[in-house]
Amino acid sequence: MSKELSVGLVGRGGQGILFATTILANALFNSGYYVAQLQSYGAEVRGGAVLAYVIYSTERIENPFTESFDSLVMLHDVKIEAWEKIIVSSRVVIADEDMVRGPPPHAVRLPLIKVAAERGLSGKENVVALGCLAGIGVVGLDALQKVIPRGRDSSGNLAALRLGYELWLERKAKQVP
Amino acid sequence: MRKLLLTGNEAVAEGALATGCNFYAGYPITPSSEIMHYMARELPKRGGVFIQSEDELAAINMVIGAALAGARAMTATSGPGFSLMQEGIGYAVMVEAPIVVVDVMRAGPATGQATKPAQGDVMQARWGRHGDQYVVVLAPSNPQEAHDLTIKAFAIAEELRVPVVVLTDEFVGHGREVVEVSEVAEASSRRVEVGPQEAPFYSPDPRKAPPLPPLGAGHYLLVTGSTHNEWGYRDVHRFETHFKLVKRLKDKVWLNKDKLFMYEVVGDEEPEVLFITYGSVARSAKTAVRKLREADVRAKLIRLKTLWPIDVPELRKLGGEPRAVVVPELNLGQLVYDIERAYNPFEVPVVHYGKVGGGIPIYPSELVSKALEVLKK
Repeated sequence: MSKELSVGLVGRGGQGILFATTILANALFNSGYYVAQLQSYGAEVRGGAVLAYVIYSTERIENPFTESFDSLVMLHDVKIEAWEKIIVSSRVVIADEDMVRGPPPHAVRLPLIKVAAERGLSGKENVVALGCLAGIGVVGLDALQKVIPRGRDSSGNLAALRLGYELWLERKAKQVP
Repeated sequence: MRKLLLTGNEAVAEGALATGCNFYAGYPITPSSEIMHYMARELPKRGGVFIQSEDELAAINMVIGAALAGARAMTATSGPGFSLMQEGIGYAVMVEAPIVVVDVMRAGPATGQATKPAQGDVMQARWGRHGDQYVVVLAPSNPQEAHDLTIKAFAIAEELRVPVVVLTDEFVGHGREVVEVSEVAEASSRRVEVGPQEAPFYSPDPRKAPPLPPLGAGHYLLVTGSTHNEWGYRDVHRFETHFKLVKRLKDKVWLNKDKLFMYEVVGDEEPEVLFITYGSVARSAKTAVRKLREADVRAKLIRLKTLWPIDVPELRKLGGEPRAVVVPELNLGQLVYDIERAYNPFEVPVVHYGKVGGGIPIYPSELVSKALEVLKK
């Protein structure tokens, strides 16, 4: 059986977690992977805790339920015990430095939301998060660019993708080897 | 055949369209609404009819009417809506309307947790109506199977003139995976032109449904939810008429259980631990079986695709003689009662592993631990 990898996104209702996860799943599918996308959210239109993820593999996914992620981006703290376990046991975690004050201690904290706002990309932190995932190497930046919706906002989305990608690379360059 | 990335709900809709479904009436409810959205978009393009009704009561009755008039008709809902539809489903059993009802299970009772998965409607899907009545209940465990079993559901509904319930859960309905979509699927039909000498509510072979002359096509078709004779005339007095009718309605489902009872078996021929489950939970059980076998524990999974009718002697034969049976479900115990008919719990431990709420699945690791615990390893 080939190795399955998992990528998660966590945040609050309204931050576009499901949208970003759907884009990510589409990009991985177009890159030739079998994918399984799942999500959990509340009945609130805005404000409830949201967790969504994609498992991908070169073979059909046997089981879509995972107890940890290989990579995870957090755009907000979530106070749900069962999710905290998953978050803490995830391998690479990128967290927004203003909105995520809690665990996990090993998270790399980046000013995703703040910098997005400074560049006129408010509300696109979900797409910035996707850019970070491309930086880590989860998915090709070009694969994401191809599936990002070509609506009125496409240039903003493309800029947000690029911003996340660069934020991750800058941070990585600063790390002492 | 197209390979698409679809949610289980979208896959249900694609399956229905492939089999020629041309009528959908429904009322939106989480987590089933995407089936309705898909049909609203696709059916008018294909010359079909889509109606958003005022509520679920209207939806189910529209579907019955359409089915009797010759359409391939379906609806989809979730817990609270499924409860409202029960009366209509009972009526469909009585008038032998070939309909498909999809229930995407969420955590109940009542409003419960609308966006979170559960498997609490198993008993309701079978027995939610009053009176003696038999329907068929199918339970897909992933989006591909949601597509495939919806096609199968239409075939069974047509063949037996019976409501078929496709029972999925939020994980299956909202889970998005790669699905091979059929363009056209075969579905046999009882809608044949019948002569005036052929009764629309009688079949000499108890395993077969009577032919269904479409309403409005010339045949004088009487339809009533009251007890009726083979010509559809009400008879609310005689024992023979009622008994013959309900017996026939049962037999056409029950006597076909060899064909209707579908399953998948994986793992060791003679297991120490046997898992029996269905739907999304079966995927964790499959992983658990693989992990246990890697640890030299003989393990087997029987994954039920059909939740009604269940062929208990067949189930026993498939399972072999395990030391323990584990039945994981996203509920407090429903399928487990059937398993206790297959395995005497005084002789073999039949252990229910139930969990529901919060959108938390049953993980493979929990099932491995449970198996080791019951085997005292």
